[in-house]
Amino acid sequence: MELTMAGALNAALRDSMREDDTVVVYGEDVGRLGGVFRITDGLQAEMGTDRCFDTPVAESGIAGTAIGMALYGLRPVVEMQFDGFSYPALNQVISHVAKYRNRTRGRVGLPMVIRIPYGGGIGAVEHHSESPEAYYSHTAGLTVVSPGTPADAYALLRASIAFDDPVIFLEPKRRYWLKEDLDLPVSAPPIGEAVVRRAGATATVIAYGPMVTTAMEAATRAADESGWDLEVVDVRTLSPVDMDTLVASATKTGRALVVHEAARFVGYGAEIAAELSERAFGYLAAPVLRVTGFDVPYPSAKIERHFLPDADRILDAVARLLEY
Amino acid sequence: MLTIRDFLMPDLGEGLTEGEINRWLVAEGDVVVVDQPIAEITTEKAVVEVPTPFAGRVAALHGAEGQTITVGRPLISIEVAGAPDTSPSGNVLVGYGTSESAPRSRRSSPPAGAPASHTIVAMPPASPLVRRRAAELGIDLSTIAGSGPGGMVTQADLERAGGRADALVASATPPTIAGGKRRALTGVDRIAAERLTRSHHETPVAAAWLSADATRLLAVRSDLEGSIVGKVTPFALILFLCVRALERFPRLNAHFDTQSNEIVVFDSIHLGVAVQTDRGLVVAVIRDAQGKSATEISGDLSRLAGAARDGSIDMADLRGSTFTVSNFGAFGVDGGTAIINPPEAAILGVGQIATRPWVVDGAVVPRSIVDLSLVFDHRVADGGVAGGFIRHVADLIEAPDEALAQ
Amino acid sequence: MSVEVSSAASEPSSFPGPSKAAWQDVGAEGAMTAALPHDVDLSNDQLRSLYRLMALSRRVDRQAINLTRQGALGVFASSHGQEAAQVGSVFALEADDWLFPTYRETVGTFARGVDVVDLLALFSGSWHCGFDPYRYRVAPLTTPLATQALHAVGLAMAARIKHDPIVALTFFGDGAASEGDAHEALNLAAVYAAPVVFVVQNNGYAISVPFHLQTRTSSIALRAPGVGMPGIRVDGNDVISVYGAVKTAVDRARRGEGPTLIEAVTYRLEAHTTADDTTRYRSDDESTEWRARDPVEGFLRVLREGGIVDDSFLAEVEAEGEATAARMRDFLFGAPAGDPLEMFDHVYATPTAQLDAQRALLGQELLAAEES
Repeated sequence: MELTMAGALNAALRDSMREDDTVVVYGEDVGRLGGVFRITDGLQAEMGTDRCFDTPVAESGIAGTAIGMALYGLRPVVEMQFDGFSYPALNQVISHVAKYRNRTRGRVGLPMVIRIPYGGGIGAVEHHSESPEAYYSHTAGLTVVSPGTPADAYALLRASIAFDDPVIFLEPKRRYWLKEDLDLPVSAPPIGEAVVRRAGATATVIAYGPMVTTAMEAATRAADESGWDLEVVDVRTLSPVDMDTLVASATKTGRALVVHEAARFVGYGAEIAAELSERAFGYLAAPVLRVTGFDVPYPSAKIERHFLPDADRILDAVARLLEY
Repeated sequence: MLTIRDFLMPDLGEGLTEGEINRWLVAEGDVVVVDQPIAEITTEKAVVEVPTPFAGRVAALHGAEGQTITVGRPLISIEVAGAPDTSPSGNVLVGYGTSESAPRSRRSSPPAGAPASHTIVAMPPASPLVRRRAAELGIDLSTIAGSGPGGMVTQADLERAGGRADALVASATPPTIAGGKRRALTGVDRIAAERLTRSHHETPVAAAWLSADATRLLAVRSDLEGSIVGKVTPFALILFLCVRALERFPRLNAHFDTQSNEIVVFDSIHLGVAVQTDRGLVVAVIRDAQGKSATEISGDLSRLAGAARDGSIDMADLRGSTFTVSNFGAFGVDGGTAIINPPEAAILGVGQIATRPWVVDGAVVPRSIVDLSLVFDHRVADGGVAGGFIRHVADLIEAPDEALAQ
Repeated sequence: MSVEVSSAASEPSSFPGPSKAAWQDVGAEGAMTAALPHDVDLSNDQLRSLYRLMALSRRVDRQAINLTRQGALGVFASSHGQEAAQVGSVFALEADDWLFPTYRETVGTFARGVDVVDLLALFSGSWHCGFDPYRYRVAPLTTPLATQALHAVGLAMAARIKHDPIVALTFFGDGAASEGDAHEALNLAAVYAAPVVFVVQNNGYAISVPFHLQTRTSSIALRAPGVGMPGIRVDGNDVISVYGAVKTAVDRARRGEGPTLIEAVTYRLEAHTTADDTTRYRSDDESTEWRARDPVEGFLRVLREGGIVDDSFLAEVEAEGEATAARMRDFLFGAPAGDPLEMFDHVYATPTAQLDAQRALLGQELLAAEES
């Protein structure tokens, strides 16, 4: 059956709610409307307003009440409507969601998921195209997941909902309409595992979320245009990250780059580059490069394509890797 | 039983480092109860009444009014009833730890006292991978000009290595001659050509040669053939004697490290023997020759030569020699200036054993004579050492009985 | 609208008597009534219990201040003077109800039954929370202001979804009432008719900022109709009235009729924490005035007058107080730090490879320090 990523997420929520009646879905416009991206479409009608409901516009409230719900034994799956609007909840997330288990010496775990559509490339106005993954990944106690394909969207969301620790689930909104042939349910890969999407030998391209598609496009073009055989690794769980898989790939090819939409400075790629330098040092033929957005606030729609990394920018970076 | 307990100046305001005694509320000799205020302390933030955690008699006040006390220093001492408390006395400094006086070092690695064992060399830039490969191939990166970004030595540069990028190579190109048949050097030949060129470029060589009377050696060899020892070639015997001579002159079983300017004497003697095959000359290695008998050396030699000729020889047997012997005699040649096999420091050429006129007891008689020619790295050995070595080999050849009896 | 000085109490209180309570209601249209009398059903045993809890918690509070001045606690936020507001409130809760305290509710959490040594772990620097929330149904003492109000609402919403007849009570202060989370919590609670009771202790100060600079209104209870719930304003130093008001709200919530906002007007007799200096921002006269209306002493007078307590009972309570204080001294003065390696143990349900590596690194450092 062909499913979009949005459809896969919807199915994951539905299947999780059917199998576990402690799963509760809420957020702004997720109930009656079914979500501004229709990710929660039909859930309220099927499950009732106790299981899927709308909230007032109160992001901190959404996250804070989710904490209380998880404390009481439910599994809340809440939505921040857009990346740029997740920030009012940062205090609850950083001060409490991330710290509750540690603060209570493991007696209280918060099995909750905060879903956030993120990333650009949809021609939106300000605040609707952010990539905040570095803030969340930097916060000890959080698990940060970002699927790159419809199959992973289904599987990783189900896994996140079933997970005993809080998950920040970053959905690449520009890929919501990506289609894949899926036979549901897709078995869930464990949280914390990266995957080699395309095996290769020339160089390693490390990507996650919206850039997985871009990286695969670059690999196809690389093979056709230059005879390069790129290996593409999909990180999937940003934190805690599966460094073993990334190190194995970089060791094999000797050349690696990380690609993300988020700005370069102190971005997620910096962590991967540093860690790869440390662990694969003797095997690197070239420094680990980062292909990223620029260190500017996300620009307006008409020029956003110049900000976003694309296959061209990735291939230029591969060429630089090969100069060494 | 009475003991003195010290009440240390506490941190009264989240990270303060000192406090001033504004007013004492007790005097020495006063009896105090637990939590009784004993002083007013002024801090950056406030004036605070400080209560004593101990009950007893005030033994000492550790400062006058107006004096500043550092956090962690004793403020007041109280004589209390009871045995001395062996537990850490008072965590008066939350976050500052308990009674341990000196902070302990937690360095897991000792501070660098001895000079570092690794060498820091001014090397051309090269990626970690290239350095690793260069080390494996025994290539000195400083001899290669890098073609990568910023002058980095690339993998391609390594592959082209062999001293070609050496800045000392003459810029004038030799005249070309048109025509001729071209045969590209590949595989073993190519590597050999690169190593020879490099050795030739890098090593200041000198040579020493002499002739030795091998008549007695041949006689001993015939005797051995009849005995349980079995068949050995004269060449194998000479190899055995070389090993004995190297034991006496270990400086020739060595390597000159240009980076550190050190002579590295090898621990073992792995004898390289040049073997002629269809595909060219290869150097087979008799490992740990110092521990082998003449028969064993002979056995190794035939085995290796056979394997080299039929192409079945192991890569391991072609690597790691510390001193090479070349059998010029196999070509019917007396001697020559062989090229040292890098990274060794010397190579001995053994010529044919031919009947020649020789002087014995004043008369000219026909004897079996062999020429020995030693080419050596003059940085590692001088004339004395080189001459001493080759003389000793000759002496052993001329009077081999004792050595061969072992 | 006139703005009162910090102590915006209704009128000088004369405690109405052991079963008499009084409080002001704020109606849906925003009008606040005068203090109306209510009868409160408390047995003599319960009254004695209330007194015991107030007296003990005062002793605990005093000992905690002393321990802070001796360096055993890094800092401490005293509830001295607020015993009635806190003890009266928690006394109205049932065993299965939940409490969401701030860092100032040592008294309230102690009264709820949390072991005093475990309670003070946050301040002693041994761990950020020293007790098991599930054991006492008390959330960890929260430091970021008003954030726990949302947790209380969420828990109450969950209880409602599961049809459990429990109530969540959360405290916050006049300062915290200015935080966005306070407003969001009130609004959400009302929207979902969550069984929450919000007890705002208006103690006159947010560190040094007096109430009249915190908000332009004379009462926090006036916000209640603004978010669609009943509001109550009560003398926070009158334990019977506090109990009565909170009990009313708790019963209302348990019946499924939704949340209530209660403003308990009281006074913070000590500084914000032991690191604070009140002489910089308020006069001694003001605290003197409030000391004359001490909640513990006032309640004791009433109980004596009513013949509900006698000397032997009071002696028992005092002895218990001294024993508790001694226990605090024994456990907290000179208490060593725990195992530093524990910092890696509870970050996730299953430690990650990264944490294992970092744990090993600290392990090496500790070993090296031991050997040096």
